[in-house]
Amino acid sequence: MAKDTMLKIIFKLSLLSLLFSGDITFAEELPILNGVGGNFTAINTDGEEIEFDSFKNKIVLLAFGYTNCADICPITLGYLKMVYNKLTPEEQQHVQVLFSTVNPEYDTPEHLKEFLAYFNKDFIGLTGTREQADKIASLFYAEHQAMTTLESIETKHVRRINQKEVESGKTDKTTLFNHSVMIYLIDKQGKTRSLDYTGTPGDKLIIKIQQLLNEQQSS
Amino acid sequence: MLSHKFVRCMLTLVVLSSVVITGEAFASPDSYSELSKTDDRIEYAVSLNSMASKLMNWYGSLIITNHSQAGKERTNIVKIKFPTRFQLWKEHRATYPEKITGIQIRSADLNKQGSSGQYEFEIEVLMTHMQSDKSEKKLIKELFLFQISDSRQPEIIQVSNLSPTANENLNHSSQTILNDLLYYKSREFAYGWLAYMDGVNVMSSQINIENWIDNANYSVKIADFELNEQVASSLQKRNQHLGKGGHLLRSIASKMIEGLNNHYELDIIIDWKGTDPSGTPAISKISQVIQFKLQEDGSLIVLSIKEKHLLPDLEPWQKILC
Repeated sequence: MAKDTMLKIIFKLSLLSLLFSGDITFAEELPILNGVGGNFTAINTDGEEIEFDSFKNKIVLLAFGYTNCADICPITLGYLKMVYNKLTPEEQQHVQVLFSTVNPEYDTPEHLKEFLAYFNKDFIGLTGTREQADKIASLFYAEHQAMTTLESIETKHVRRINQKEVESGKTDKTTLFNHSVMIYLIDKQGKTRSLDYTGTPGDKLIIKIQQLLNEQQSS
Repeated sequence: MLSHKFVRCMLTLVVLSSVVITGEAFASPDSYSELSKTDDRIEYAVSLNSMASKLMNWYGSLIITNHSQAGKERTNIVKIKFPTRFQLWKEHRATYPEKITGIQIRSADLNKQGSSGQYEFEIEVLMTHMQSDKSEKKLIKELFLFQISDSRQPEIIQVSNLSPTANENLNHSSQTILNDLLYYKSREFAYGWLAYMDGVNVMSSQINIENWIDNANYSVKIADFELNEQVASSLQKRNQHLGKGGHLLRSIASKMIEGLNNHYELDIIIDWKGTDPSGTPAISKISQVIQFKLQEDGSLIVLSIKEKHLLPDLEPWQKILC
C-alpha cells in the first residue's frame, strides 16, 4: 500500500512538472548539434524499409525505448502525445514523432504499431535487425543495455501497454533494457537541434518546434 | 524490482525537471548578430590558443632536460629541447631559478587591452628547482604582454614580475610537481594545433608543421560525414563542412605509446562553437586522438589524427538511463 501511495505522489509530481510549464514563452537558441544523428535505414511500423532522410522537410521528435518498458517509455510517449496534440493540425502535418526500439528482436512492426496506436496513430515506430537498431542508437549516442538475459522474462510479470500475439502454447518472454530518456528534436534538414525529455516543460518544447517550423529552408 | 526501478527513475526525472524548468532565456538569433558573435568567438579562440601555445613553449623551455623526478616512464624524453628564439626569453631567464625540474601553472588570467591588438596574460606558477642537490619550490607571478600582429601572430613584447598571492610555506608542502617537458610540449602543440585549425599558423617556428601536414593521416567523423585523407586536405574539407567557428581546448591527456621510443598519444577534447555554412548556430564536442613522435630538437611529427564529434554536454539529465 505504501508503494502505491509513493507511486501516486510521484505521478502527481510528474504531472505538476508538466503543468507548471504553462507560462513559459521564451524562444531559445537552437544550435545544430554537430555529430548527433545522421541517415540510417530501418523497418517502419508498416513493415517497409525506410531511410531517415525521407523525413527531411519535417520536424522530427525521436525517442528510444521498447514496448515492454515498464518505466519511462509510456511516460515519454504520453508526453509526446500531449505535445503533439497541442500543435495545430497544420503544424502536425509537418511534425513526425518517431520511436526507435532498442529491442528489435521482440518488437515486430505489427506489435510496435499496436503499441504506438495507444498514444497516437500518427507516431511511427522504427525496428529492423539488431545491427540497424544499434546503428540508429549509436548515431544519436542513445545508450542502452540489456539488464537481463535475452528473452528471459515472462511478459506477464511486466507492466505493459499491450500484449503481443504469440502462438498458443508458447510463453511470451522479453528482455529488459536500460535506455536513454532523451527526446531528440530534429530540424527539416535532419540536423539535431535540441535534447529534451519529459521534464522539459511541454510549452517550451512546442515553442522550439514552432521555431524550427518557421525557419527558412537553406538552399 | 520493476516498481523500485520505476520509482527511482521517476524521482530522478521529477527532481531534474524542477531544475530545468527555470532554464535560461535566450534572445532569438538574428543573422547579423550571430555572424558578428561568431567572428568575436573566432578572434578570442585564435588569440587565446596562439598565445597559450607560446606560453607553453616559454615555460617548457625553462625545465632542465635530465632531471630524475619526472617519473621512470618518462625518462626517454630527456633529450628533448624547446627551441628558444626569443631575445626577451634570454633576458628574463635570469629571474627564474637555475635548475628548474617542474612547473605547475596555478592560475592564468587573460585580458584584452582595448583595440590595440595587445593582450595581458597574468600567470602564477609554482616551480620546483634543485639547489645544492636539494629540491626547493618557488612561487612566481608574472605578467606577459602580447602583441598580436596583423598576420595574427602573437609576440611576447614584455614580461613583468608581480607579487605572488599565496603565502603558504611551499617547501613544507608535500605536493609533487610532475608537469615536465612532455606536459608542456603536448600543450604547446595542442594549443598551436587548435589555432591552426582556426586558420593561424603559430606552429611553423615551434613544431615544424611542414614536416607532417601533407603526410599524416587525418580521419574525421561528424555523424554520417566521414573523411580519411592527409591532414591538409581533410582539414580543408572538414572546415568547409563545419562552417565558421572557434576551437577551445577542454581537456588534454598524453601517454606514451608502448614499445615505440619517443612516440606519444594525445587525447584531447575540444569545444567548437560557430555557425554552419548556412549561418545557423552550431556546436560540437570534438574528440581527437593524435599520435606523434617527438624529435630530439623539440620538433614534433604527427603520425595520425582521429577525430569524432560526440554528444555535447548540454543537460544534467542527458546521461540518465531508465
